[in-house]
Amino acid sequence: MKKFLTILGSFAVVLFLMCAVIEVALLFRPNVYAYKRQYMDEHLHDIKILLLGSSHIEEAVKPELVGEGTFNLAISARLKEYDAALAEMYVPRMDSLKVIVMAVDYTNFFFERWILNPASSHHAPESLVSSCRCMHTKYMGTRIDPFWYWSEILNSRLNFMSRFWNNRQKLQECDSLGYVSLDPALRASDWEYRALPALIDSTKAIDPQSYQELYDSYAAVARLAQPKGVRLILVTPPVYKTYQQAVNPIVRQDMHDFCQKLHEAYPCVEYYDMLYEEGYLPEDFNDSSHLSDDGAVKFSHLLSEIISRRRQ
Amino acid sequence: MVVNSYSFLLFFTVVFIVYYLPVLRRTPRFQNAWLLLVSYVFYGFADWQMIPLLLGSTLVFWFVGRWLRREMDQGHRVAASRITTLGVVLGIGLLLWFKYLNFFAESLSLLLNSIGLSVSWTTLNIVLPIGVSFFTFKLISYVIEIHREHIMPSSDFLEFAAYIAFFPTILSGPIDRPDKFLPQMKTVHTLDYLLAADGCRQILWGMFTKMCIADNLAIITASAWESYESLPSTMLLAAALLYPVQLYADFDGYSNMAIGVGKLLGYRVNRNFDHPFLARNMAEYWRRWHISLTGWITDYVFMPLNIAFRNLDNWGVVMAAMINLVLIGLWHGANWTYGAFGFYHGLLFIPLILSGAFAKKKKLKANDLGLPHLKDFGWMLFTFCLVAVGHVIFRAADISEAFAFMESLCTNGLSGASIIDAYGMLYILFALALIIIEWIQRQQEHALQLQRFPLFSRRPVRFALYLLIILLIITFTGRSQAFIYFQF
Amino acid sequence: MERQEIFSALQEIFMDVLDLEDEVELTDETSANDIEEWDSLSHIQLIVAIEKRFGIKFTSLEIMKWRNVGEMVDSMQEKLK
Repeated sequence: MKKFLTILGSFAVVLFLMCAVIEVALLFRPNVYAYKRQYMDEHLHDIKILLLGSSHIEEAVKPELVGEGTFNLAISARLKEYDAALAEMYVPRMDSLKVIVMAVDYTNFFFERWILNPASSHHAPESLVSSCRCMHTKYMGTRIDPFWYWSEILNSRLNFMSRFWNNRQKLQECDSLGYVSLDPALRASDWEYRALPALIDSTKAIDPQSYQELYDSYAAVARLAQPKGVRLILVTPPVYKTYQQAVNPIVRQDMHDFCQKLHEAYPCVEYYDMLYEEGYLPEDFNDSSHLSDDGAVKFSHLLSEIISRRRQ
Repeated sequence: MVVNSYSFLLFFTVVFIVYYLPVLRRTPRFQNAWLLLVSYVFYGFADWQMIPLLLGSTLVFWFVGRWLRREMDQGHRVAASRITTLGVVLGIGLLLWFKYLNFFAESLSLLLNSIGLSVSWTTLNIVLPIGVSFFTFKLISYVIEIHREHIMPSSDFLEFAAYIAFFPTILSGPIDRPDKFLPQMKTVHTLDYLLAADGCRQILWGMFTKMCIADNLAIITASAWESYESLPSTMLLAAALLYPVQLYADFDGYSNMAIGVGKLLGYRVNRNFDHPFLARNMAEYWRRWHISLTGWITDYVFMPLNIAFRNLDNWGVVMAAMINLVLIGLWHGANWTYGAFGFYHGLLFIPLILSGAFAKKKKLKANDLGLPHLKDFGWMLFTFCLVAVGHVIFRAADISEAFAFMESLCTNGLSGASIIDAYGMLYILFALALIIIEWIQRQQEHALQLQRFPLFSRRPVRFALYLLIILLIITFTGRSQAFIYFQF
Repeated sequence: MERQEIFSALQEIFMDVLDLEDEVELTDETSANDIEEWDSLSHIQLIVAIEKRFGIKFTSLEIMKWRNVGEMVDSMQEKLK
């Protein structure tokens, strides 16, 4: 027994060392989280318009078209609580900040009522929650997770080792202002049926805890924006008609009520529902809910109009 | 809780520490009681609502076993036979109810509908208990082995219940037989260093084949099956040839992990695979594939049928083999594809039985270069192709899809999208490497039994190899995605 | 019938059915593991030959109980009483 434990123990030590070397070496490899963190740290006082959210914003808004001093801090697959955490980290120190843009995604309003959508051509991928937690904890400096989320080996579901042999541009993913471009020429043949939302079981009631958690995330950002006179613009980006067909009006009403409630508590909050916005062609979409490069141009102009109050 | 997860690691560390405490090593009963407790906790994590079923069926069969022995002692042969039949019927009935009831009823009503009788069947909401296919088989074999006077009924319920619920194997096998397993529970287990170290290596190897090879090949085969109508034949052919390797890497990987965990507890668990791709005919293949299952069905279905049909010469054997294989097929799930899969293999057995080659066990020898003889290699390739065809039937959602896939494979031409990117090529290389390793280590229970190589006699070299394997696992587990979004 | 007689008769049957070249020494402990040609298929053929030769019929249970030649001969002796 002693022999077994000693040998196993010594192997475990060597294994731990190997993993530690990998974890530290990864810190020096580029990735989109590290890039955006660095940009924020450097341009904290220059940013006027901050974009928060997940892939629906990261791939939909070109900062240079929205206005000067815009930065796209959104990252794919991000959970709302990280938007709030990042706001808490940066907003108080941002002197020039005028506007925060956050997405209000249809998929955040299921509150445990969802059922699988048979029309969706891809089954839901593996849950990337642990990857999201890990990357934010390790590279963006958020502190809302336990310490063991720091390790990519333990938590990341992504092919993180590929960061050792891919080039900087590919690893960074985004352009200098945080925008990730999706080329419509490269989209899948069944793109209309990808990224479709799940369906809602209308007989089920809203789970109060998840509702409250979502509300708290937005409220936290609003609380930071209000005293500084910063506008919190909530926006639902446009979606393709296949997505629109899956939208349940009950949920849409939930979204409006939610934002109304926020606005009553925090007057700096404004809500713009663009789910059924007109003027978007099939080429503007990379899949049913993500805009391509062309679509991003249109949406960025739209956002610019909202911000300059040329549109209500 | 899957074996290759952090929660299992935590769970097993606790199990291991307590199991080998001096206080528990006073009598086997203490260790068995601990095994029983943790096995039920383990099962509870997987499916706590079915614990009453597991416990209940264990109790019932324990009493049936004792009752049976009493009747046998009193010379009541007929009663003994009846009790055995009762036990078998109960076990099979349990399995049929949970796994196949909806399937049979739907098939029956479809049949009746097709001849004009209008029948409807509301699918009962029957939840399939995890592991039911495995523990019912253990229970049935217990009763039968008592009846065949190969074992005495267990005198200790704790021991028997721990055997049935033994956590490394309860969810996905291998299926342990009472005559080999129960005696191991009668002694106190102190840590056997060689066995435990071998167990660790076996677990590592199992993790590698499952996580690095099987899970990654699954990406290719899944995309092939998703859009087979439009993919080129070359892609479909590749998917069809990779699928048996994927299945093997997956199931052998899982079995190795289970057996390795058993070894860490001092138990020798039934083997499940013996390098099946080295089989030179279908009979040899089934002696090397899912051994614990095919062995079970051979001992309790094939042999009795053979004996019953013994005066029908070869055709008796053919019938017995056909029934045997169809049952093996159907055991996998409630779908006609599984039955068709079994039937297909049954057909392949016919020439083997008629020629007498069916039961011959020819030793597999290498030539002077350490490679297989050309003739053997040819037969291995041929057998592999037959297996691949069978697996198309196995994988399809229904029989028509199986035919559609085969048709697409033959007629789709050479142009179209590719489902194999740079990573895909790498995974295919891994699959080939696996087959080569299988050949090199064909005499060993698992690939990491390296005692015969002088290179690996030094511990630092072995450690380096294990680290390399772990590095490969870390590198190639997880998806290589350019864009990740939540989709719900 | 004497045990020794049964054994020598079995010897002949084994040599014949299993197509053995050399004489095989059958003892009480001999089992299928000891003779390479004695597989599951030839096991059935052996039983058929034995039943024919001695004019007896075994039950399935009896056959499945046997673990070695000794147990087989015990069953045969009972039947031949």
